Amino acid sequence: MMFTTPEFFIFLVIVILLIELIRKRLWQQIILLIASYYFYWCSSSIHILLLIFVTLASYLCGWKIWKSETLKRKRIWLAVGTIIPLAVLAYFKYIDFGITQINNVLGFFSPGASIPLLEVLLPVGVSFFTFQALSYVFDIYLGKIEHEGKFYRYALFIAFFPALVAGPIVRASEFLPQLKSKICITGANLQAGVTLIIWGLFKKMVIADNIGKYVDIVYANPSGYPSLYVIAATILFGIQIYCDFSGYANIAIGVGRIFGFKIPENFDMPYFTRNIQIFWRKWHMTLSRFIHDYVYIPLGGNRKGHLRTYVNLFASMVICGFWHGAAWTFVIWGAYHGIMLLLHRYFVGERKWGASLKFLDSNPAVFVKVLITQALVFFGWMIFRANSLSDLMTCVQKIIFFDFQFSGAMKVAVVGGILMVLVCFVLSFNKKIVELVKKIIFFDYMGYFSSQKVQYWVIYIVVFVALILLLAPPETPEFIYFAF
Amino acid sequence: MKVDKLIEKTTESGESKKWKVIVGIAVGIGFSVLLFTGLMFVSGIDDYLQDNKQIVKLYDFYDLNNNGNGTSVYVIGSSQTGNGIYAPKINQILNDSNLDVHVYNLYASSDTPNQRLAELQYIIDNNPSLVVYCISYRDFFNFSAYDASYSDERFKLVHNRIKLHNGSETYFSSQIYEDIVTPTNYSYDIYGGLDSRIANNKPVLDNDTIELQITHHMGYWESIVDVESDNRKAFDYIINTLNNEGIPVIIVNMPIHPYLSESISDESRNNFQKIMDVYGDLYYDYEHQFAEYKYFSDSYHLSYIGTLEFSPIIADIIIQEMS
Repeated sequence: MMFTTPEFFIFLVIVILLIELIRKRLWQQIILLIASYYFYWCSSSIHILLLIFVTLASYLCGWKIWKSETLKRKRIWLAVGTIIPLAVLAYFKYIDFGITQINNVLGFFSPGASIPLLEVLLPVGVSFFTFQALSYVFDIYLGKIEHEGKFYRYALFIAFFPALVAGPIVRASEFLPQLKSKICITGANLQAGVTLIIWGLFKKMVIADNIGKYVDIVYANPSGYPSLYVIAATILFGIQIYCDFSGYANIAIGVGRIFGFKIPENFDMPYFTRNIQIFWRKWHMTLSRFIHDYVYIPLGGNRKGHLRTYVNLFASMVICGFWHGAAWTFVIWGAYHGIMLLLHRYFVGERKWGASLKFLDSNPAVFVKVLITQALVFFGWMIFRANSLSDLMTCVQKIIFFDFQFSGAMKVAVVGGILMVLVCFVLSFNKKIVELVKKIIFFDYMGYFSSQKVQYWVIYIVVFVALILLLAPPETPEFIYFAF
Repeated sequence: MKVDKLIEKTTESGESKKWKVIVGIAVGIGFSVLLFTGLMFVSGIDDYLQDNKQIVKLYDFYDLNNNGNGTSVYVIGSSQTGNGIYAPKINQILNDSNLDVHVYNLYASSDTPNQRLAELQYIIDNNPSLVVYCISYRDFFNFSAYDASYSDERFKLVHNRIKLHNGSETYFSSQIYEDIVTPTNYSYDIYGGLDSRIANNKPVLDNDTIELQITHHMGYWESIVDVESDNRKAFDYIINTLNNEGIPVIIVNMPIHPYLSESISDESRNNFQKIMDVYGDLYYDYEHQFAEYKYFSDSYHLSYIGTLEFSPIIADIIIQEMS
């Protein structure tokens, strides 16, 4: 069951009605838990057993850590509580990738020898709910939260359907306290939630899905297209993945909001950031902080000297890349971002390059910095999107050895694009214009729409729902992050 | 967008305007649906045509890929092919085998050889390394009413783009040829019709439902494979012409549900075999490949599981043929 299907909205209305009719907190939470399991059953059928297993195992480990009186016992249960979700993740997500790598090595030494692939189907959202389970176990160990006494509340934290299959990755310390109060569906929450849901649907169904068709064509066979098409498809993919994933996050946050829950934000204008470090603070924010808190910091963070800091940073980003999928392209993508963060830290953070040059803080310089940062980020998207290493090599070759094959329309588009960038650069010297553009870009549109009187707010619904009906392609593909 | 700010704002509000908001949502959605339906009505867009827009995509594809570099494998056939052949999986296997080819699933729903014949020249111009033609009994049924009900719309969307292969004219059924040569002027919504907007999730059906489905469509499946049919003539013409142009073809009899297989008459089966006997080694028979219902989404189409199982088989055939 996807957020974009009519079935989901029928399901949502039924759940809202049930929650509204049942005023007892306990039953409201049990209804939400059953609804969440039903939602997961519809998305991933028998894999629901896996979800229940991870929930039970991590709850038990959390309880054991909480109960243990010695540090040694706490550590043993932490290890168990870490290994179980990671083992589940490793088996379902990476086992065939591992076997393929072993087969490659075997094939090198004795041609023909190979281990058959297990062809394990990837359970939807496994990367997300295992990480939430890990965060619970870690937070108890670190003393950040107490053990949750009511199992059904913990199960609801892991399975809460808006964030179950593609995040945002919610921490136990953020979600569990919210279960202490009764669910009350208020008019303001409903208005805010629906505003976000419609905006998320628009981003996913109108922008991402329409763009995706063209991206898929080029990336299915990059060798068959001129360099400019590969570049255009990469830029479009950057827009597609943002609209797809942030659209999903908007819907998830909106649905949570209807029930009065605060689900953390996942994106904050990442394509307007001026360096790679800030980009990672604003892109997939819940994963970034998970990696920071549960990978980078436990590895030693910046507490163990310069060299170790760089190693930790790089390792964290490689893990972040590998989390996205069992393919070398994701590992390379993670390593690529790791290297960029590392270089940024060294030259800007430590050597303070350009710190004394005041003009680097001027608006035109910031504009150039944003362009360079995003060019690097979008190059990363090419690594991320390529179907295989050989396709990636083809794409890189296409860019390095640019073939200058332009069709008439493409020439106009390229010249138009360059002119637009130049005009923006010139305009960036004018402070008033820059302030105005900033206001337009960073304006709180969602807050504005959802705080309107209902009679005006209806116009927002009519316009955006009609646009979705008119412009969404007939077959809505799955959200990209369902596959992770 | 500052969702946090929005959240802060909304948490402070009370329950007072809940009903207003609910009415607002209902009115808003109602108006947008009315607006959308009105626009569809005014533009005179035909829903059936929108669902058949695959044909437009297909012609777009032929135009885009007209590079003649001989590194493509075209898989053609009906929705059975659309559901049963998962090109990315096959491409992955071919890639792992270091084969520099790319597979494209060029299915068209309810496709028949007679209809596909109209694309023959495009296929030749695109010069694929191999054509995999996926078929089943219905490709040769003598049930002309079926052809008529589905074919009459197919060419209207691409009428001005049809490019017939010289000499193929006489191999079309008269009805289809008339459709091809009759100028049309239909509205076309590139984003698809009403029906196609509703996600079409195909669940795996249990055996009882499939049996019921087959019984319900018995009139159709009782049709007889005809060795003299227009479709057979068109099929032979396609295969022979492609071979003469140096484009190898293999023919795959697609898996069907065992219950459906049982309902195929002996006469149909014998006639089908006669047609295929001509092609000897080019013919691969997978009708009985799967016995369990989990592999099928209905009597005729493979389910997701079935597709994942079947695609590697096709990949192996391609590897075998290409090497």
